[in-house]
Amino acid sequence: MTRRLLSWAESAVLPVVVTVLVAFLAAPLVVLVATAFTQTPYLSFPPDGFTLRWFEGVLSDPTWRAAAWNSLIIAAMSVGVAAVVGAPAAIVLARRGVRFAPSLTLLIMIPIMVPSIMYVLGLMLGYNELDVSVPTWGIVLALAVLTTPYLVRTLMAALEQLDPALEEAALSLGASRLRIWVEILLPNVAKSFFSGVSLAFILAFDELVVPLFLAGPDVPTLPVRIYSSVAYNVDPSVAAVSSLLVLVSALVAVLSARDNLRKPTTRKDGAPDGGA
Amino acid sequence: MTAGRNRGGARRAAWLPLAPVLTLYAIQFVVPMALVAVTSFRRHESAGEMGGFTTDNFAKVLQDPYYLGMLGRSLALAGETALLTAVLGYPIAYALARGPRWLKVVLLVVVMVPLMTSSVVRSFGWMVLFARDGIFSTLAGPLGDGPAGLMYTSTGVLLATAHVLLPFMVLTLYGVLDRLNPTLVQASMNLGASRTGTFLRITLPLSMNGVVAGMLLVFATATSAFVTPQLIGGTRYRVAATEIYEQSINLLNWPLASAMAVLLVAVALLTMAVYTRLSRDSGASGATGIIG
Repeated sequence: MTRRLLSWAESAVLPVVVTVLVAFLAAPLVVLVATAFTQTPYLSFPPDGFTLRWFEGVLSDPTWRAAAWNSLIIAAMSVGVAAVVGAPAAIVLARRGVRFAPSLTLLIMIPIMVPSIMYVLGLMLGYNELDVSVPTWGIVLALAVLTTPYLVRTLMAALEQLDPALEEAALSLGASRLRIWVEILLPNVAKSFFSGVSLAFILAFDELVVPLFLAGPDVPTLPVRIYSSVAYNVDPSVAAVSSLLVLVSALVAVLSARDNLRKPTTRKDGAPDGGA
Repeated sequence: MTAGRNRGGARRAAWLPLAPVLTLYAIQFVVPMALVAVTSFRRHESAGEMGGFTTDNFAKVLQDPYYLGMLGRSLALAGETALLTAVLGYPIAYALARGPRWLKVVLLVVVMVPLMTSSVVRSFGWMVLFARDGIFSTLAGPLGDGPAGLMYTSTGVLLATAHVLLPFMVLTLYGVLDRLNPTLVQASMNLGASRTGTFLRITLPLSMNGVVAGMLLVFATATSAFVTPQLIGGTRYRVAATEIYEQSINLLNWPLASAMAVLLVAVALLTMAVYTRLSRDSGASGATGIIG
């Protein structure tokens, strides 16, 4: 009897703990979405009444729209740069086409191991030394450095997982090297490449430290604009903007989870690139 | 295998695809890092003005109790965050690896949504929860400073930082737990061990590598966490990264900011070196992602 009770307790512990943890993970996001509907002119949780005016205000406010536009353009351009410099490198490194490929791969990963505050401080000092204010493409290039490692790693992982038999079969059937790349290898890694690009885009879009140090409020990206509103004069419209961002990430997350479910095996390396 | 592998000319040409990325890194990464290293040895004359070379900045940071306390606080926050995320992340990763399919989808979404939401937004959410007279100060009164809530407290910064880094821990642990051979668990249960016994003697020891790897990853990221301590800790709970911002952007004391940055990077790189070695040995590679 005690044994059965014990095993019942054992099987009940995990669900309870996991439920609490799910609540912990969701809490700050749920709270933001809820407060965005409050009728009070200040943030209140639980919200007081229901109104959509904060959303309407934000969507028609030119400064918020400009910030969102800045973020989109800057993130897209930096991921573009990262893809252009990262893809050729990933292909060569995945194929061990040069000597020291493993060390070079590690070298390319270094920007995600170094706190971004360090090299952003360095970039700021550099522009100061040159006595120029930071141009927008300066932010783009800094973000490209930050996102290149993710792109390279996703693409390399996809190329390394490809069955070599595919290529051998094509070769033995007389396909040219170019044709193998265009018709066999690239289509097979396109999906991983796309998920790497999406992850890089999200990271660049969300990044605060780089634009905050380099441009400050001059070129306000969405995170910079949210940051200064939160730090200086917070009102429910910031919660409304934040809720819209949460909604977008929720959509992406659901799509990628559904994608993972459809596949019989999920990726085994625990990397976030599996579902971006 | 790659064509032209044996010929010198082709060998040199093989490096060409690496040229763009190496150029970008040289200009945008190596040069800035070198600038910080050099600046950390310059003398601070006045705001934005620098003089000759000196080691005073490091002496100041490592001896002045104010700055030393800041560094200590950063390291303590990182250590506590690593522990907390391991404790909180393990059950989620376990359920993600062993649970039924519907639970996997739910958990994956719950872990991925915060991961893909800017840490500014997430910290803002905690600010609302932690606010004076907010629900957290009512529910968790004894944890914080009474009705003042958890804003500007170490507990508040710790909880919010752990929330920001938890997804990385979960994904790292999931990678390890998912790969564990399930027959080991079945064998243990068949031989009469209880669930708890099986977990403590089989699953936990076999996943310890992942726990350590995840903790190192979180530690390295948390030492230089900026957004969360800045928003939740404010001026009353400063850590090294927020002090670097204050010194470089507001006070224009670049040499001091650089010296602190050099020390932080040294800690982060040391931790990551151990992490890389460890994950190479155990195959627990993975979420080397840094959103802080």
